[in-house]
Amino acid sequence: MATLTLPVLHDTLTTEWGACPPGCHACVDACADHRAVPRIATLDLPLVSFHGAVVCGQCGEPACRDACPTGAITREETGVVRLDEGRCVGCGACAVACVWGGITLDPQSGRAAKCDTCAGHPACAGACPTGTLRWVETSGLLRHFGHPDPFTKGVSLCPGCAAELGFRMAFRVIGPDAVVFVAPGCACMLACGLGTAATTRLPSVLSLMTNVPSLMTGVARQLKRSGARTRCVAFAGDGTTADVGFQPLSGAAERGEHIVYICYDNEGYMNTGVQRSSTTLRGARTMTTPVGPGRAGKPQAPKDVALLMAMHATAYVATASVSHPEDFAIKLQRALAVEDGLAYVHLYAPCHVGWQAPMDSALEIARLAVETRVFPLWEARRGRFRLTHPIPRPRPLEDFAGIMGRLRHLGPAGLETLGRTVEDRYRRVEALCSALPWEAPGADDEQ
Amino acid sequence: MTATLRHVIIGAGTAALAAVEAIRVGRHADPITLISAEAETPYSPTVLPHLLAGRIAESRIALRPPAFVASAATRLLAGDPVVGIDAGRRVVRLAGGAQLPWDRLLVASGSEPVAPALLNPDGVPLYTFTRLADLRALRARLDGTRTVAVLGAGLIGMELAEALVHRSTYAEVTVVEQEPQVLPVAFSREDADSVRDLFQSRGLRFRLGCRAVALERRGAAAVVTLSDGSALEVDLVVACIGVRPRLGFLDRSGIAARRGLLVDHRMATSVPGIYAAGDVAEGPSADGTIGCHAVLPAAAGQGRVAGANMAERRVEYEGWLPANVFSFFGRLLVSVGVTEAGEGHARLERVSDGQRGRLLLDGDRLVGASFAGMPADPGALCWLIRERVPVKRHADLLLDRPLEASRWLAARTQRGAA
Repeated sequence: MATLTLPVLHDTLTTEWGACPPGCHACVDACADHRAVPRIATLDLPLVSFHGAVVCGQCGEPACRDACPTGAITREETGVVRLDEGRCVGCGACAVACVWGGITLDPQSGRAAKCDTCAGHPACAGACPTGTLRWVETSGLLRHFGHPDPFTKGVSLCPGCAAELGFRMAFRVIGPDAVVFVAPGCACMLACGLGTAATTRLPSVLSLMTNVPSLMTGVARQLKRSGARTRCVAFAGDGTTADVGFQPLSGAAERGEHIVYICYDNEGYMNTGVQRSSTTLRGARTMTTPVGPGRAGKPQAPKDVALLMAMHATAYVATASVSHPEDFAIKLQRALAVEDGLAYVHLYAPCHVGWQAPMDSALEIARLAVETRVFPLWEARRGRFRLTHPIPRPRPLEDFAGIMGRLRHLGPAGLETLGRTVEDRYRRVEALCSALPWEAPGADDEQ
Repeated sequence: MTATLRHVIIGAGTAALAAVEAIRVGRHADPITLISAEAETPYSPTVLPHLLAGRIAESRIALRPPAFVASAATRLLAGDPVVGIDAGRRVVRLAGGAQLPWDRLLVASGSEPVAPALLNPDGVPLYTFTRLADLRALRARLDGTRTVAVLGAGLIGMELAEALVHRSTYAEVTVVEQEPQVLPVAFSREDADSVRDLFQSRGLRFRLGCRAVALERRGAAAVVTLSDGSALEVDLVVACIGVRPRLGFLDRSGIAARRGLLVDHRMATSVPGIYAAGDVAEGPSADGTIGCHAVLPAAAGQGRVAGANMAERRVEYEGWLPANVFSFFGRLLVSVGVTEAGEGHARLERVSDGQRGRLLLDGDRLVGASFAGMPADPGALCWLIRERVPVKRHADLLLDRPLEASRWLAARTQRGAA
């Protein structure tokens, strides 16, 4: 059976929006040195205190190419959208079609110009004094996901499910030499299927919610005794992990069982109709934390399970998000490399159904959770921490709260309370990172 | 995904090729047949004046590499025009007698020139300028031609006039336009007058506010009688008074049409399975009205939407928006949205040193913008109009630095900020 083929990714120029130093045109100057007409533009607008840069994003389906009347614009296999200036007649159709500021019209030559990434060595990025403009090599991202897709046809979860995506990503990294442990929840339908149809190619064990790590302990010890390298991997929800089955997880971490435990956190009991769990965000509306007279969603702060796990001086603990696949993959590889204890990965996996958001929004929500500091990305080895994706300038919390129904009732006071909870959580991790900094790993477990 | 679908596309221009790209996003094996009335490699008529001016060679105007329309699943039938379609039996009939069955049909047959209503008892040759064949016929006559009358000062007429002057400085070109300005509809009166002045300084002549009513032969020359009673004696007459959707071959097809083929937001016509895109389509604009809009970005956008829906992906067209760029003699003219202030519109203008910027606002939001002689980004301005971005607070900045300010305002909303 054919396995799902992943799309090809390409390297790209990226700018941190609005983070340029005032009056700086280093990128434009560098581009102009190489090419007569600069293809990157600075937006230096002191009147509105904005200083940024725009450059072509090399679209996958470029509107400029479709509008060009001479076929001068083509998209190459490297992902570069190239404009052959010798074929340009200066009609401007590309500049009308592009809404991203990627086309430069040069009245002198009567022609258009656009960025072609200088064949993968953009002069502009090298010239940026602040690192605001960067050349990001994403083409290598997929090398982490080298194993076949774990599913057969007919996955039965809701369309747009982030947990399903997280499961796929996890086992494309882990590979087929694994036993997956699940508990009642959305993911048990991923691993065991509905009715008689299995939807994963992996051997899977449906455990109870109360004893996933205990069951794994037995299987893992027996596999080790038999000399097998097969890994025991849990893929369990926050209800199982944080509430119902936390005690055996704590025990397994403390004993140092050789298992990998992935908690996909959708902040509630989604499979049974959206009840709150202990990881549900403060202020969030669920069926058991409704909004009405005297009630405004969940009053408690969420339980930080990953931090609790790190406090066991666990071999490896990390938070990850479906919106940051490379970060997730690298952390999984570190988790798999652990030989002498438990590895725990807490995966943020928004449930657009339970969170009352559009079907295509789970990844955007996850991304915003990271960028607003709602969900900090960090890792810890034996209780020594580092942020893997620091957020020096968080986006406003309203951006996150505004795209989902479960937080829409929050007024300024509710948002402020949530904001304090979020900031406290982020600063707690930040403080741990400086008090107990991450130590360079031994050569044995680094990729 | 359903079984293989047979796609037939009438036309091989910008809309047709964008549709092929969109179909191929998900359906690699579906057979696609493009039918071109002209025996040419797919090209856009936009290039004609540039070919005439010698700015680009005919060998370099192919819209796609040859393999694009000659692969295992895609083929081009060039030079065999469609003479009719049978919507009931789902076949297209070609002039050569062949019948092509289809599951999804796209009509992207483009536009054809409108013939001027004038008396021509002597049968004076009246050239048009919308096809490569027209260009070749015109070029064959140009050597030895000293004087040319171009009927119509729309974009085609003006670019033709510019090309004729660019090509041979001794050609005497007179442009006749029944409206009182050049480039009517596309650009405001003031911008148009600045274009006219610049053209005049390069030796072009204009007869605005009158139209040709009769042609007569006088020796080897032609006499054009104008509606104001005056006459022009010229060697050659080219009619560029406008284009209309090319849909004559669709008589009795049953597809609902007004000026063009009526389409909804998915580019679907009234007949299931038949779509239309580009100049031939009459569809929704960005502000909800229905009409034809024969420009390249609209054709590309409509083709993409039609192709996606033919491939059974539900995609809706954002609606066309008037947007014109006119580049001539080293000067850039950009106009987006409406060109003249309507009722309740505020008009803000800044003129200095040959630069002119103008914004038309409806309350807080932009409905039209034009910039002459200064850098501007038409795509970003389109975004501001289409997305109803509030801009009034930054109107001064937009007039001072249109390129940067429009990109900044557009990017803010593209990034999800208020």
